[in-house]
Amino acid sequence: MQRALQRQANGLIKTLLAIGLLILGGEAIAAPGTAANTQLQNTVTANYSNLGNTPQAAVTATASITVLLLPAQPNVAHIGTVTEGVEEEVIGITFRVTTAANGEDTYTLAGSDAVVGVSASIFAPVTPFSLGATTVATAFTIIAGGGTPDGTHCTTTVPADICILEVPIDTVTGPGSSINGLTAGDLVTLSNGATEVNCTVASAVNAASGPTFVGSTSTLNVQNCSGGLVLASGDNILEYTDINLSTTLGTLNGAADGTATVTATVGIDGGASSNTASIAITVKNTLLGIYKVVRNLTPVTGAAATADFDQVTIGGNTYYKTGVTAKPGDVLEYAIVLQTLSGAGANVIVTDALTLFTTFNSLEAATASDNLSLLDEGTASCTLFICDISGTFTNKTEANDADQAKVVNDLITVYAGLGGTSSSGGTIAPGKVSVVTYQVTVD
Amino acid sequence: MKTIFSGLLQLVILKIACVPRQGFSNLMVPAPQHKGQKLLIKLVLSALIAPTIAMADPNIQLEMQVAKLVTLEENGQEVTRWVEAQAVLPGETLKYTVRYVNQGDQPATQVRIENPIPELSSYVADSAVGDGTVIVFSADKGVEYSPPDQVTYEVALFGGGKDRRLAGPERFTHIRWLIERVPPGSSGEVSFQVLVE
Repeated sequence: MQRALQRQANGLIKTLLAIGLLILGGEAIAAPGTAANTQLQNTVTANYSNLGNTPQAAVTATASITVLLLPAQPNVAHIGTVTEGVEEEVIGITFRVTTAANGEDTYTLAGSDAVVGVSASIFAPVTPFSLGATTVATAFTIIAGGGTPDGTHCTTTVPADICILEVPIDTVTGPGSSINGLTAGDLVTLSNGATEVNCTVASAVNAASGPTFVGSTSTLNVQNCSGGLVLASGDNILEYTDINLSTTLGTLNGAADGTATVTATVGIDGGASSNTASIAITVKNTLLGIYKVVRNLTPVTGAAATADFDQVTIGGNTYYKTGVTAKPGDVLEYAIVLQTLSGAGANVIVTDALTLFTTFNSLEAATASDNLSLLDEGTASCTLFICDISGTFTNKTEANDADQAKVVNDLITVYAGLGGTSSSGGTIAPGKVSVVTYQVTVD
Repeated sequence: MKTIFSGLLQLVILKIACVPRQGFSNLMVPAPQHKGQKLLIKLVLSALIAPTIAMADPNIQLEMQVAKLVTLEENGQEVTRWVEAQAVLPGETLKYTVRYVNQGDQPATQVRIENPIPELSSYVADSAVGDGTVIVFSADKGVEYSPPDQVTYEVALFGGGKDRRLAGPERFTHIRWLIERVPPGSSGEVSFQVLVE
């Protein structure tokens, strides 16, 4: 009675889920069918009597047949959050590939794009990958919630948050920790035809290669399921994987942004490809932020500079955008901060004319080790507009012709960034900073 | 074991055959003289007749084959044929054929050949056949059998109670062929088809 009620409730839930799916316009996963490598066993029994109506011993006969792999094009969908980048930037675009076969098979994914206002992207090759699949052998219910650490649990649990699914024996692979290509750590979608949830395979225990499916099954333990689901015998367990397609965006044709519509095409390894998923990526110009701040190195006799929202801390010293006071003879240290706000900066060159009524502290002064220092690439940790910059500064001397810094006619030129030389600027990776500090004396 | 037993029966038959007819008649015909003689005669008769009756049992043997429908090219034309199969793809149709034979010396009566619909398969409507048989179906794992258009299954009503509803072929769980009599030495076959899910 209780089981019957449970079945009816399950049926109602399935119906409601199906209705909900129709309302939402969702697309159910097509069922690939009984798991490959399953042995379907059929036993017939004959009972009969003799002329005296005495029942005789029953006789049986059995036939077995093995289910083959039914290859199918996998499904692919874009799931990443990256929708923009700057020219020549290397970005990762994530696609989820879900098997549609009834067993293990190997697949490929390749990138391509259609571009507007930018040259074609370059895609890193993706190594062929395999995905497994099997079938639910015994009806099972996964219930969302329940207060377990990961928020999910199953009706029959050992331990609490692991769902124990009975699946057909993979009679080809044989006993072990793999069932139709499904092993611990794999990501799977459980589908009842109307809806699906995602789980992680905790472990797989393939039973000894038996001659029977009926009454003899393997065990697939799953956990961290994304929701509840009523599963019936024959429902599918499909592996999926997230492929991060490494993409080097092209070069913009002009100043305007471009668009690269990136398409991932998936297929069976060695076969034709058909299923695709696309995402439009906006390709932007590099955006570099620049800030100039200062501090007074001479002990201040008057009021100290007041903190403001644009102060920068470097190596424990605070530099200010405004509010710094000085008197003739005081030594000021300026910091020019370059930060990539969009994309990577390339050939970064900083020029700065000395402030009127100041004199640059000669780079040739042997003791003035901090006269001009350069941080090629560092990090900025910011709270609102107050940033703490960390990284290794190197001192630059004018005497070295190969130096990245020059001061000529009160004009400071610095070839900043990683890889900067005495004649060309270096690069600053996305989100990184490059900093130049130099000192002057107030006339 | 059955074969050994049959062999013993045949041995008994040979021994009976070797009993001189005259002697056998002498045992049967003369009237017993007293109770001791009567008992002796009864024991001897029992010992001789009992093996004869045991020997006369029917002996049904079964054999099952599974085949799938394949398309072949013959003489430039595509033809479909059932061929014995050891592997199948989801979505394909399988045909199970059960051959029976009575290898005994007496008729088998009230023969019931029962076959569950294999797991992960569904019965193909109107596919069960068997000459000279009555075919009935079950939708409750073999508890009750009915003609195909009268098969029912029980549902529990939400909120309590039960109801019986007509079951379509896809709900059938078992097939039963009823054969009134299978004479010695005679054989036949029954079959049905399923769709592998």
